[in-house]
Amino acid sequence: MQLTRDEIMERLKDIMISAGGGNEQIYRECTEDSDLSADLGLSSIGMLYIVIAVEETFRIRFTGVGMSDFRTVKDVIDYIEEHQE
Amino acid sequence: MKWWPSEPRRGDMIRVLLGSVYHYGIFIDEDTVVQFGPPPGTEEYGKGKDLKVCITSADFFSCGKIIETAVLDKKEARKRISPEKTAETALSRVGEGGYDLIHNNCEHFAYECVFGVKRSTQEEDARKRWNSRPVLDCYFAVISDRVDVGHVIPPARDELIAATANERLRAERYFVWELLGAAFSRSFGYRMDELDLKLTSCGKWVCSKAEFSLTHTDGLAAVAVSNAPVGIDAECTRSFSEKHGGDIAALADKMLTRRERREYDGSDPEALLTYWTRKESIFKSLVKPSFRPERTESDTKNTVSLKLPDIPGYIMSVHGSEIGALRCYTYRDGKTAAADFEKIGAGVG
Repeated sequence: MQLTRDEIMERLKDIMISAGGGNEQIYRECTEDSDLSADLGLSSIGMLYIVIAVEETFRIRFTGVGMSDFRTVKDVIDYIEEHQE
Repeated sequence: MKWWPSEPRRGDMIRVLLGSVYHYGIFIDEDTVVQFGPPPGTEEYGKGKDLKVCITSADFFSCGKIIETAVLDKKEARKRISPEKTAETALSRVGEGGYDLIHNNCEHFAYECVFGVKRSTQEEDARKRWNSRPVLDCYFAVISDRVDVGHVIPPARDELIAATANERLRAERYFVWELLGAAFSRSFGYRMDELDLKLTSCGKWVCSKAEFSLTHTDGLAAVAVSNAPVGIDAECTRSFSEKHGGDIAALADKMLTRRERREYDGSDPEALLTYWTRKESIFKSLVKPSFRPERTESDTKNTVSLKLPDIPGYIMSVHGSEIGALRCYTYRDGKTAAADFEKIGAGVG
């Protein structure tokens, strides 16, 4: 079943809360425009962790993705929306 | 494999910690380190687009940090490709593309040059950490008066549902299984057809990939999924009062432990129901054939009782060692959504 952008956003927030270590409020209130590094404070290893969590949760396989391909939450949602089963 | 800040030799795998991730390469000499993309954060790395296997000096590779060299144990040393062959392989791949942060990064490249297979411990560690994170998610749904009972997986459950003579009970049994599918999908990304669901001799459904518990009562279905044993129970307060409102004291005598009988004021049906759901959730988290509520202490740190503002009129309890990670969701029209919940104490209505 294809998920809507809102559903993807909600699941992505769950992932970030699980991965983020105590920044629940920041992740709960983030928007598509939130910058993963500047606004959400994700480090490069945090980004790797989230990308892997997205693979596991949404059952997609990232291909050809670089460290800087995802700047905002929107970039991640766009990728998931395009590649979901 | 251990890592030491020792002098690398030709064909050694080396790494440097840049921020929170390691950058890997194959050392050839002081002027030649072969790596998949230049070190992240450098001008040459740019935005990380179209990265290729490249050569930099060891000084550039280090970015001013300490270079660590892989020290192989005896087993690894036997399995490794010779240092000279490693160096040749690394040099022959300069200019190669196809970089991928997760599946083909600088660590995969360096590991492949030394051992002949791609591997990234950073990827493995992150995946392991994600898959072992504490999970205890509860899903709640109102069962409508009209449920179109379809087929479910596995066939044994499907047969059990089809054989249920009572129409309403058949609908509830079907619906709670549908809810389980939604729960597995949302919490773990699992599809029902890839789970080895089976019925134990105690009448409890289990699968090897995750723990779960089901309950349905008077128009409510609830499911708990976790990566540790879990139990869930829900009861309708109105239905309980109608059926047992006059027998509260007798019921309390039968279901409460001695300590709980001292604690319970003897008149509040909701409080008694809270005790009951807690005990049943504890029992359901275990694989035991018989339930002895009068011997089951409900006041455990791993049990939470709750009410959902979105679905009033029910008391639910969930028990599991990952209770600190408790999250609640509602399920409506095939969609799940995060739900607020109010925790209530044992014995407090």
